[in-house]
Amino acid sequence: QSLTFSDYGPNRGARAAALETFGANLAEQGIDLTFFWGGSLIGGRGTLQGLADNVADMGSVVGFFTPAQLPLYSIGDLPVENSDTWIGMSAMHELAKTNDALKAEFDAAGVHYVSTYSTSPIQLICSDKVDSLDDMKGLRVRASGPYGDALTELGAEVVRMSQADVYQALDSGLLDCNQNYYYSIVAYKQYEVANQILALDWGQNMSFGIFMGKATYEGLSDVAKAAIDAAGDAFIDIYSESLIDGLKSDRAALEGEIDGNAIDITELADADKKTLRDASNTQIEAWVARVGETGGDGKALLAEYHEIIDRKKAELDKQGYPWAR
Amino acid sequence: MGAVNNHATPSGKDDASLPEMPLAPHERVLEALAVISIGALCLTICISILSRAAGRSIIPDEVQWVELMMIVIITGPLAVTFAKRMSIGVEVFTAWATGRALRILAVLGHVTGLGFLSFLLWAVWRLLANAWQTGEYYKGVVDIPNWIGAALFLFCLAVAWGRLALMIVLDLKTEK
Amino acid sequence: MDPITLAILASGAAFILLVMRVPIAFCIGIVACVGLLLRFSWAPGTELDLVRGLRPTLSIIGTTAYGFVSNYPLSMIPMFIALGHVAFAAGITTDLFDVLNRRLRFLPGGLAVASVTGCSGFSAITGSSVACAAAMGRIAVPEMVRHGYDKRLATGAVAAGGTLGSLIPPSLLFVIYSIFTEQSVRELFVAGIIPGILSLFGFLLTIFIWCWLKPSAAPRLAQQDTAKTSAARDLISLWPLFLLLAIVIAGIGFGFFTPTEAAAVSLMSATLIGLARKKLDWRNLTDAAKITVQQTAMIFAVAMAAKIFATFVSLTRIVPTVLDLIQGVDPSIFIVMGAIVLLYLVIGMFLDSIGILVLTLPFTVPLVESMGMDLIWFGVIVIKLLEIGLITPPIGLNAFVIKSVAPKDISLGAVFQGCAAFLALDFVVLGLLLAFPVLSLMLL
Ligand code: NA
Ligand code: NA
Repeated sequence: QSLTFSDYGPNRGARAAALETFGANLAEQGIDLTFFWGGSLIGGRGTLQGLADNVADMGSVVGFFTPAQLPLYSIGDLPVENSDTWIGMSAMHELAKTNDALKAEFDAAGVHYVSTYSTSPIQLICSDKVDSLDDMKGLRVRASGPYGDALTELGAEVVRMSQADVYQALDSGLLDCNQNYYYSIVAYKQYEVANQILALDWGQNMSFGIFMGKATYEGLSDVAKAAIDAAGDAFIDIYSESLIDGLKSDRAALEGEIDGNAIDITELADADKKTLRDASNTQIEAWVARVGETGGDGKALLAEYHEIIDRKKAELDKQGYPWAR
Repeated sequence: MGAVNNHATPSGKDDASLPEMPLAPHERVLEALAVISIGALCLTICISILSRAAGRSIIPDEVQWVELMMIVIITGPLAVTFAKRMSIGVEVFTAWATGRALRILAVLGHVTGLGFLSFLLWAVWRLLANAWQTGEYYKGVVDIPNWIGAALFLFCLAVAWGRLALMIVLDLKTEK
Repeated sequence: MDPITLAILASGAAFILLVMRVPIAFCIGIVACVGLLLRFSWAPGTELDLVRGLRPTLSIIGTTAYGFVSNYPLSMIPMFIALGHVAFAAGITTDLFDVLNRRLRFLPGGLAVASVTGCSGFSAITGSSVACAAAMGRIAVPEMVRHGYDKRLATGAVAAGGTLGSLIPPSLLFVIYSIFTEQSVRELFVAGIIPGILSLFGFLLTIFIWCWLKPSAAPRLAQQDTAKTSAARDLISLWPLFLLLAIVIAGIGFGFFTPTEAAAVSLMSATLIGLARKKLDWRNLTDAAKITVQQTAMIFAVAMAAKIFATFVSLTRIVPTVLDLIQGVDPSIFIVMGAIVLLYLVIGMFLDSIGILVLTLPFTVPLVESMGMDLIWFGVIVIKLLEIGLITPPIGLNAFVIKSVAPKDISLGAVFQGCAAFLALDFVVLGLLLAFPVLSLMLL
């Protein structure tokens, strides 16, 4: 069995490495993945449709691009308290695999869910010292999704811009700050042009993951289906372990001198943490209302999500990370 | 055709080139829309910069509006460029061609173009149908629906397709 | 059908159509569409099934084409084409070239030298080769032709000069490269400086040699014509241009706008300057806009078709297949590097720069890395190769842009002939960069 996989990103960094492992695991089960990197087959925006239309068999879908087709799936981008990467990812994965409303949504879009990605918790990188949320008022901040809405509410001037353009924008002073994650700060070398990090350790972006075309998946043998589903489960541990390890090493690298650039990391004060939580809750309520307009039950999905998060949290407290057990 | 080719610079070897064809009113309208779009695009970006410098960006979803205008700027004038035979081609190997041979080569070009545009037209029609059915939109302040861009694209392509078909007829008719 | 056979057949078909004067956009467009259809309907080891292949084919054509025409960063290109027309209508560029022609009398091919140098300055600002060719093609080519320059020299100089856009920082292509290789953007930018200057010298030398061999290619002004005005007055007469440059450079440098936005700002500024000097009116402004959108449509038609073609090429997996093949035959550094250079040159004949990067880097970078070569140096080589691809036939986007925006009676053949002269020394520069990595790495 040979399947094509379309990814919008480069074959570099933690996510690509985890995908390679995912591919190697499948190869052991007799399923060969052929990767198309960098959007050379389908761009990020078109992947959902491309999978439904059999352009590629499998691919990386970003829910942000298809808000009308995947309204419930955008729950993964909400700033809920799940800042441990493994808790967030495994909770999102279980939700996507078991919740009927989400399943119906994927069915209608013509895709089959396989696994979840994550950005790891959100941080803010700035060119000048920003010690608190108050300092951020009036600054030009690149941000996306509900995090951008929350930052707007907190007084920042939010600019929408792609991560690839941020380097030059931070360098010229067009942007004061950028919403980003440790691994991505390192990958995009943004520490070269901005040396202040405000450690928000805010929720993660998780409304993106591995999907298959529904017809393609259903055309597979039961053995192949089982192999793919199992590889999807394993991917959660592979990728969250790599993100958590990377989080430590990237942060340590940034705190030391990275390539001769001295970076300042400022922790958020407790009062600011509460402000951020309140702003997050406003966004979560707005999300529930928006989903309600399209006939979805956001409240129920959110309750189930929280229930799984709590369970995963207890599991982590009791047993530690799966790879350390 | 005297009224239409006032933009053309005299080439000095008219015997070796085919005449421009008169434009249809709807083709002029599309071209005018493209002209308006390019002005609007420039204004949109400048206003956005100025307002941002003043403290608050006043054009919501600027990127998406610019993208919509780009569709009109790029595909709106396609039919006009076909009528004016502006398409870029390699002439070195067929420099010997005049009159009849040139016309046959031109028809071959139009037919090939018609084939390509037919694929495009069909593909964009599916895109539009899909955007309409799903109600998909660009997440932003205004939430601009995807079908608007697809519809603009489809309409401009359809007009360009019609022009190419007409060019085949016109060139074959001159042939007789 | 075997995908490699399909890729070879498709390239052959495109070539035959090209020779028969079929517009380039149509050639590669139709071949890409039919190729995609065959690829999806005729998987290796199965029967042809067009019905099965149609859905993915239409899907990918639709999303690729739509994604290309609705693209924010590409708005830079129509803006800079318009800038060329507006600056011309406003008299800004005519003044400039008259002054240059008087003041650069001592220099063989003075206007061509000024144009190429202007391109390097322009590219330092925009970071886009095509945008640079679009503006300078409209500004410089008609002026050189007006002053009696050989059309091939005039168009070749600007097409080649435009290729400095991505090598001299800032450069979007280097940013994309950095993402695929996890290299420092700043180091890549710095590494591009000397190769950029070296390329510029190569172009200037080409002009000197050309004018030395054939002085009539760039006629010089008689002595008495230069004495009419003083140097100071000449300089002052160029104030609109200096104002324009000051706005753009300061605006980007102080973070008021991005390079993409700078295109719109410079267009707006040129328009306002033209209106203030009463050189622009409603009529020539709308005329400029009309020509701009027509030329934009032509250029984007080719680029969009090339984008769909790139998707088809990606699907055939020809790049990894060829690289595997070469490695299997002879895995020595020289052979592999030679093959990579050849690969980029061949692909560069057909595809656009960003398309080539995403298509090739996933395969070439690990290979180069495994051989222990420096990835910053390799980045410079790749960008240089992409720049060369912009002026090689049959698909040379810079050459097309010049052909579109230059006076109508200049044929594409003449543009490519001009490019060919500049390519000769460009290959020497490429050879130097390959042989002496220190040229790229010494400033780091
Ligand atoms: Na540049
Ligand atoms: Na080329």
